Amino acid sequence: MDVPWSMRILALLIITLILGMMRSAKRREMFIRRIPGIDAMEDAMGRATEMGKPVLFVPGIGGLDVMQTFAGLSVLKWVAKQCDELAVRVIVPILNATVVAPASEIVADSGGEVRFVSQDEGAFAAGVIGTLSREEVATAFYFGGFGFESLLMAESGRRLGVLQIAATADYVQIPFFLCACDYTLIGEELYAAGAYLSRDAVEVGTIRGQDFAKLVLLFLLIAGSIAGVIWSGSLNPVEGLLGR
Amino acid sequence: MKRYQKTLVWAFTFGFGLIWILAFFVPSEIGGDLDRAGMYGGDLVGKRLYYTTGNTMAMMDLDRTSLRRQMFSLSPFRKDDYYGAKFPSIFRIDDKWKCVYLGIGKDDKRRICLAESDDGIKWTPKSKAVYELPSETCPGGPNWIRVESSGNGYSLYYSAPFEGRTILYSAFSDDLINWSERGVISKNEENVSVLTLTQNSKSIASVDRAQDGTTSFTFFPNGSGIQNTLFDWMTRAKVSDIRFVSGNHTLFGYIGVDNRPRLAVAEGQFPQKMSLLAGSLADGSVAELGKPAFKTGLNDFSGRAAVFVQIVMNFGLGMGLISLLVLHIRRIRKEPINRGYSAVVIVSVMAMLVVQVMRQVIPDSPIWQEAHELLFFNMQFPLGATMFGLLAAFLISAAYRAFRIRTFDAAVLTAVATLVLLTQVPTAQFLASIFGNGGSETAASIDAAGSEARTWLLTVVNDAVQRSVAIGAFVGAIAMALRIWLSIEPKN
Repeated sequence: MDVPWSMRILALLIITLILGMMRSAKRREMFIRRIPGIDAMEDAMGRATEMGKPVLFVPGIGGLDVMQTFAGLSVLKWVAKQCDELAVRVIVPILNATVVAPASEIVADSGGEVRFVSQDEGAFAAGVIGTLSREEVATAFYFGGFGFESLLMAESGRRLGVLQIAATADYVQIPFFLCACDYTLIGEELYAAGAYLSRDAVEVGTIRGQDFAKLVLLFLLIAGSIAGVIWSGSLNPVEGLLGR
Repeated sequence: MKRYQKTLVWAFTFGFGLIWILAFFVPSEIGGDLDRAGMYGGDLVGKRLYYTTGNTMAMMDLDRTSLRRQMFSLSPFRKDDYYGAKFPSIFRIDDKWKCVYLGIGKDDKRRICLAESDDGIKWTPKSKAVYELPSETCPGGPNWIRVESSGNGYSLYYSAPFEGRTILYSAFSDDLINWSERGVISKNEENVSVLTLTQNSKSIASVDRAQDGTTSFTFFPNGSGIQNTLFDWMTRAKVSDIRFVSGNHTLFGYIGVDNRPRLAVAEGQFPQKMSLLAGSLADGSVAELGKPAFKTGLNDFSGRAAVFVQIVMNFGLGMGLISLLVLHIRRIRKEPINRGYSAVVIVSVMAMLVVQVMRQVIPDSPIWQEAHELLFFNMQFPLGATMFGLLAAFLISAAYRAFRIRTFDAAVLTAVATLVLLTQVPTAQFLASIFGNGGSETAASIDAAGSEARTWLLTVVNDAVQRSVAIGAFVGAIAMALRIWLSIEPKN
């Protein structure tokens, strides 16, 4: 079945807003609010440098068909660059085989290690916990989509005294990271992290575009709520126009 | 990565992305005439034919079959026929025209709706359905309906699934607005579905479908002795619908050679002789169908692209196996410290591979079956379960840390978590019986209030927060996808 026209228009509006902001960001500098979890990343890198211990970076458990994985890889670029400058080793355990090649490409210059652990989540968690323990990791970053192994890794890291920063859009896993990690980036902050760290004008513009797109959705939410109250018991116009 | 490799990756990413984006934005069908999807579920009043095409209803005069128009448009502001209006049954009552039809609502439920007209051409549907069928007989609504005059009122026939087949039910109304249920009217023998039914003053006819898909007609009273030239055509054309209509005509529904449903009109009604209307087309159809829509094929192409991805991934699996073996054999040869781990990896991979392949080659062999059970059920499963079991212990320690009351936020969190936890298990009732005056009524009321509070917390507060995270992540994912698709990811 075809997508309703209202959804096509909405998607087009969101894409136009994001692309428009990307273009305007090239012309003028844009403000981007501070995110404590991302600010702490430089300190976390410094900690690893001072301790002379490696950094662990997990880009989630998704493959290259999951946007969260790309968001994680874009942060890995920054981590790899920092590791290269500070002469710190970065270890990247991977669950999904398709991520091995891009992750290897990213860490190639910094001499980092990409390790394909296992396609099984339980075995992957066991491998990461083993790495945290054996390699005496100073700092761990969990950026991407995660399943139940999130708590296994983060709680083990906490017991080992590792400074941990996590970011995921899987809201079922967010409470686990909040309990076990020092800093947690929630939902969309994962996608903003790459832009925040790179300070690239186009990426910053993307975040501004995202904010405007959310304003549109917020307006629709409020309009839908009001219409739902006014037309209670029958089909309200906003719901009707938006379709399935 | 070399330059040509980068170009290749970019071209594939952009090309496939473009196809998926076009499949989202461009409709799968463009243009085509009103009744491009065919005609079915019709009714004939005088020389005016009303019928269903796609998800809407249309009409035409048999004298001027080239002029066709939609009865009324589906509106995004009417919830009971939001997705479709089908199977019109038309009546002239005094000076008014009335059309009973099946509406497909916003909630995907099918209900009986009514539209009115002064001239039978311009129709105005009522804002709400007139009748919702009993949910115990057909929870989602009927698949097919028909209304026919009977005595001093109107009979509604509708079909609904029953134990893997379709059976007919009936309802009655004096005014087409207030309906009373009459229950099952035709169950037929087992494994036979009743597709449609029609009646006139002298006979009843139905179309039945056996389990193997063949259709047959049942006429009452028995019409085996009746000479009817149309019986041969009905069987040949695989007629799937029959309806006695006004003016001593009969309407037939069947599937044409291009797989589009068609309508045929015959003069006469069973048990009289029936013959196709003069001017019918060679295949029996009352009118030529409209020009079909142009199919963009983008949806099909994106589906085929997904298959291509699957093929590439399977090649990747083979390459991964070779790469794994090469890597670990090299480690065994060159790295004396960790060679033990590499040996375990190679032995495990080869053992699993050999056992699974041999199990397929010699399926009856108990040795390979036992080896499979040993490796899979006695080793891999318990190992996985052990890791999962650890989660319970880690959950407790994480929860302990989260619920330590140090701040106001933590206190609220603890209170809410305690409430949800206690009302989730029978403990709530147990506690109520101890602390709530010991009475069972008090215990039940405390339990009910607790359950209500838990439901509110989970469905209102919790859902709202989850959706806010989901909306932000959804917009973020679009932005990220755009950056990758347009290759504007910066290099750090």
